[in-house]
Amino acid sequence: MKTWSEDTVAILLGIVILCIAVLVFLLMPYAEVAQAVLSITPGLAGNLESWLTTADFGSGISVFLKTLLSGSRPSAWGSNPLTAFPPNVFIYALVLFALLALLLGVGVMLMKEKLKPFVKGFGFVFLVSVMAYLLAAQTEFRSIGLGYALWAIVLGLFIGNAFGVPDFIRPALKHELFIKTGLVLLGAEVLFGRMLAIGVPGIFVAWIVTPVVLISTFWFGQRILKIGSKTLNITISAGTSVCGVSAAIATAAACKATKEELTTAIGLSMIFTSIMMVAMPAFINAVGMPEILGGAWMGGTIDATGAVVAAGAFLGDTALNVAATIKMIQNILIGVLAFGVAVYWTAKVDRSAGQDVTAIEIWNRFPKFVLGFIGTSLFFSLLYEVLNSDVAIVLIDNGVLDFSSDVRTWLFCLAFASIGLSTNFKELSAQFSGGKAFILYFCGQSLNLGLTLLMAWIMFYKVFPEITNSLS
Amino acid sequence: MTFRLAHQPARLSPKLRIFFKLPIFLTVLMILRLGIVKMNRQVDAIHAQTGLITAKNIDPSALFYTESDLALNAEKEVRHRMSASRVTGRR
Repeated sequence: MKTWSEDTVAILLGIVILCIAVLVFLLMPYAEVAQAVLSITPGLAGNLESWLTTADFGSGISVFLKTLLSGSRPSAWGSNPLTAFPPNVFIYALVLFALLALLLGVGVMLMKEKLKPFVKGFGFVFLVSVMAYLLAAQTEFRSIGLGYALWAIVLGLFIGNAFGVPDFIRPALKHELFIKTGLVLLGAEVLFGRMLAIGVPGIFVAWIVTPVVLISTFWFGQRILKIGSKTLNITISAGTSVCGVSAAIATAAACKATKEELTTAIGLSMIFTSIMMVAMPAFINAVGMPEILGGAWMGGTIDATGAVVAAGAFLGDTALNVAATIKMIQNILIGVLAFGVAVYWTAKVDRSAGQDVTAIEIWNRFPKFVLGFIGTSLFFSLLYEVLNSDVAIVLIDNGVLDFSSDVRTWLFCLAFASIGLSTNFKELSAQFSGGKAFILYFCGQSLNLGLTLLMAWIMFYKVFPEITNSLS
Repeated sequence: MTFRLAHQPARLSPKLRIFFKLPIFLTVLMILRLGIVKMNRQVDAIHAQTGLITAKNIDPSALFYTESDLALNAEKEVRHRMSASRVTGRR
């Protein structure tokens, strides 16, 4: 039997998970829900979403899968971590562990590696992930945005460097497989139809400013700061300009950055996000900036979606709506970003000077998982547009994507735990030497702040004031 | 030959150092938590922000828009407002 590459295994696993999601959360309940809507409540259209969220139409398997994913994570806690574990959490966690080990184990076997050592080590990586979710659920940590991604890396780093990683864990440290499978799932969430949610101003703020900041920051890192590693430079630049951790993951995988470089970009993004989440709404309030302008500014600059929502909510509902929508449009740019970086790296960066690259060589070097990422994105974007019914849209948003994003966050958490466990602290600290990574992020974000504010003001107040009026 | 001053503490053996690492890590976590609580009390902007996050059950660490119900609702609200404005011909 032919040995599968990590990329093709990631695509296969991603497609399998999405097929399960479509079958259980879209196809099975579709007829039932449509029938119920048609026969019982003809005038329900306006209230459809609230009805669907409360109606009991789910099949047993869909309820089980959703409960399994949410129930296996520790819940919010304050000072006693034991209160974070509801009675069934260990059972759910065990079942989820078994299912993930089975699914990923099949992938490992396709890569011609042994299943038993993988499953043994995977248990430990899974345990570190559960601990990361536990710390992320702590009330104070959660309130300033210290999420599972950071805790998984921190815990992994601590365990790996303080106690060392036993040999039996090493076969399960497959962060690239976890990340690539997660990215194929993330593709399904990148729905291109959502680009036009706020019209032309949204496109300009999120899709014109962002590439300008990305290219400028990368150029600044290469020419002015003279950062030694191009992959570190582009990973930080993408995190700064697009949407933080998720963009850094996609870019790092597309350009084959090292795990230390990805960790650096994620760390910088999380620190600045926590600061900006508090500082930006306070500044906007202090200078009396209009809500829509403030919302658009924060949506285009604060990295993580959750932090954008929190900052927007501080200013008011209108700011929250505008900020979150701008961020969502920017999120969709990830697909184009990953594809663009993969092509640029394969065709330009990875070739020797003066060497001509043939199409076959480009294809051989191209990270294939990006095709899975783009493929699922296009498929679900089309599905969303073709179905074009409130029922289907709600079933995709609240069913398929809700499920797939939960699985994706578990895969990312496992990946970050693996990265932390296999990273040497000295190698990681070398990334910060000279402070170049910090300066790059700071300068890139400063440019982002200036350009986004200017573009938001021009678009929402000079060119399309009617859109601003309709939103206020 | 190495000399050790009388007041200089003896170095811990590697095994003993490992034994102390976990309590140190847990202490750092506790200090971080207490630091956030203190900042919360002393800085008005942080207090207001964290209060809002708790009240609205926002997850500020959500990485992507599909991980936040508020973000998904925000898009729908924006589309609704824009289409309602088109219907009423509001300028």
